[in-house]
Amino acid sequence: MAPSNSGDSSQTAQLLARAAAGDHESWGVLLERYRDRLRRTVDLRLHPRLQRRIDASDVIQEAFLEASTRLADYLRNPDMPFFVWLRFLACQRLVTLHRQHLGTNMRELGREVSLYRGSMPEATSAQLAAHLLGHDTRPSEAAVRAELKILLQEALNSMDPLDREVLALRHFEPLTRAESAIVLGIEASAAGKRYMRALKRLKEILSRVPGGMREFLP
Amino acid sequence: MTEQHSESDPVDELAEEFAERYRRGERPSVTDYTERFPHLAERIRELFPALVVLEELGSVAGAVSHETAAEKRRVPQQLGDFRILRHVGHGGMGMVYEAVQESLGRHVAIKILPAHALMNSTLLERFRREARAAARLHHTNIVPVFGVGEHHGIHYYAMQYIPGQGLDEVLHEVARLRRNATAPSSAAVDGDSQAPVSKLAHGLSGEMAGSRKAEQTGHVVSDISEAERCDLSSAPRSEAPTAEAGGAIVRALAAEKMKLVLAARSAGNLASLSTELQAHGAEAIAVRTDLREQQDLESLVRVAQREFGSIDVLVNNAAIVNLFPFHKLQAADIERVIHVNLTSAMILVRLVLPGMLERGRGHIVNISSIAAKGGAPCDEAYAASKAGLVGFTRSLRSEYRQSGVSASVICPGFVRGAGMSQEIMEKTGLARPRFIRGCSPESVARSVVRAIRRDVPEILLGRPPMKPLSVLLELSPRLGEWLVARLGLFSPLGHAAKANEDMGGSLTGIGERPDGDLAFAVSREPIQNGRLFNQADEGIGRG
Repeated sequence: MAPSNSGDSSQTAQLLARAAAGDHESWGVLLERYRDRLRRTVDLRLHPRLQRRIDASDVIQEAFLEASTRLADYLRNPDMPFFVWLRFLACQRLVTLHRQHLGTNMRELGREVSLYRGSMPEATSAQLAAHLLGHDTRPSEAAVRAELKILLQEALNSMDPLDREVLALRHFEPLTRAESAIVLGIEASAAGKRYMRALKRLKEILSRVPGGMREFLP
Repeated sequence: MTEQHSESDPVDELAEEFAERYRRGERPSVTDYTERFPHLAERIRELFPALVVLEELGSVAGAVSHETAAEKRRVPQQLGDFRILRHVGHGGMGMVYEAVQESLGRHVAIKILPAHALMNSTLLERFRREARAAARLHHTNIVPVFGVGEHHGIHYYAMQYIPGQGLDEVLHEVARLRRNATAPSSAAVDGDSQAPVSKLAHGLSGEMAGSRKAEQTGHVVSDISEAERCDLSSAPRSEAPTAEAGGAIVRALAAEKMKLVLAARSAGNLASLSTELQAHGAEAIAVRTDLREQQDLESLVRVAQREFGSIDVLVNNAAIVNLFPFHKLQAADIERVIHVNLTSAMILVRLVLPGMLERGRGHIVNISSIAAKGGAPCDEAYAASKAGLVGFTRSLRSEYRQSGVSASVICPGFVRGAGMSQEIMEKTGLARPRFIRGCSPESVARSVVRAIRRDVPEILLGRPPMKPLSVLLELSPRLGEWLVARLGLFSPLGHAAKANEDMGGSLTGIGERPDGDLAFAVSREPIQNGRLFNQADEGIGRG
């Protein structure tokens, strides 16, 4: 076992060591520490058509089960941080689910992000009516915000998929620099370059929106 | 694979630190970083703004979707007769689901009050009121409400489900409009959510749109009723901040025991006005109407007839302005004003006249303006449309003399046109014209009632200089216009138009997608020989 290779903190390493020795409580504590982060990943990547049928909690639970059975394998060769490994299992689970429910052309799931699935549902006249009739609320501010989100989403959609993925990893999941490099399978320095290039491109795209960047900044 | 600090870019590290602070709720400033790391300043300035946008707009998305998921789990698969299919959206006051009404096999959209709101009885009451208000809106373009209910503590109402244009498309349109409007002077225009001009436009165009149209009130249709007399004069006026004259007219007619059909572009605004009227015992329904749509006008009249049987009074009060140098307008800006102010009024009259003639009673009130007579500059299309209403009214009176149906025209002293330009002037720091003050929304409303009651052909409202001047302009146009110029009566309008021009026309919606606005409908009995209220003559003097 070589926890130092994984880049995990000593606390995580200790919990891992105890879990490996059969301490169920430590294992539970360890998993719970990552539940919220995994939740964001699953929410970000679960296809909207599956969001009603599949509960993100179930996906995470299944990833945890998988982790329990494969923990020994992981500890034999911990070549990535523990969280990144959990996230990898959850994403694998998502790929399987998408394949089962949506067919086979979802190979690229790990790379493809469709953002704001939860908060930008497909709008129908029912939703529009709800907005228009919800005059007890003050929708003007929310509408401006929603509008900016849509513009941002459009900007992201117009980007190269890898650039978009880099930004999603760093800001929407969010992963650290080191974690995103591992997920992307490239050197940290290369990931950093990629990230900064993506930020620069995003700025260029947003600057082309009439009103420019100022529209977006708080 | 491990992290390699030695190779990592310091700006990347700073970006990560910056984003982490942002997530912790701090709001670090980019300037702070450029000052701390001057040798990296240029790259920081290049990269951090996009980072802020991602954190600012992206982080909330996560939070919202969590909440959505939580709400989703709370909602059962079945609500009484309704089987929930999927979540379609949510707003501040509830979640919306697609569902099937099993007994009828039809698709519906169900709006559910969120759980946290149940803790609060005021919110629950609001939700019920909203459902009731929504249920009162009758229009082909409004999603009908089928029912309101409660199922094991979950409050909901069901609407017709219509898959259609997405909210995002609507928002895009909004964005486009706003960008057009903000271009020349974003600071001034952004501030206008608090400004009176926008307050006027706000309620009419709907809060969602946020676009700035200086449009106004409406039309009416009306009918006969045994409605209880209601005391609206004591109603708090402040409840209807929009379309002051239209609101005042409607309240005055409600006080005359009329049943009202309110027509306007904004469903929300209509609903609140009709709810206010109903709260005071008046019978009122609201019909969302785009005055530029022939089918909307037809459907307005149809709904009024279906609800109240017949239409006895029609008040045409809708108007929009350009207030912009005429030689710089687009043809569409001119057409928009003429259509809303004049054409729609004529079409409505055409639609209600057959019924009135058949019953041998009815009255039409057209709200014109002093602009029809005074030669106000910078709003030629408005003046033309208002003068058109004067000519239109006179011809109507002539043609339908002795038929029991009659018409009146009221020319307020710029209660509308100058009301708006006054706001513009206040915003832009220009002097306020003297002639504006005299004409309140209530005085317009009183003159509407008087015109109907006494079949007055024409009422000119306003402060002293206007009335003799308009007479002088008729008798001796050259002397009249010399005097108008000499007195500088309209010069503030010129300044306002200039200010509007400097702001790209955003104050009056120049260049925006033209759209309609507000109309009010009314009616009542008895009407004989073209005169309403003939049982009571309260002796309001001629203006």
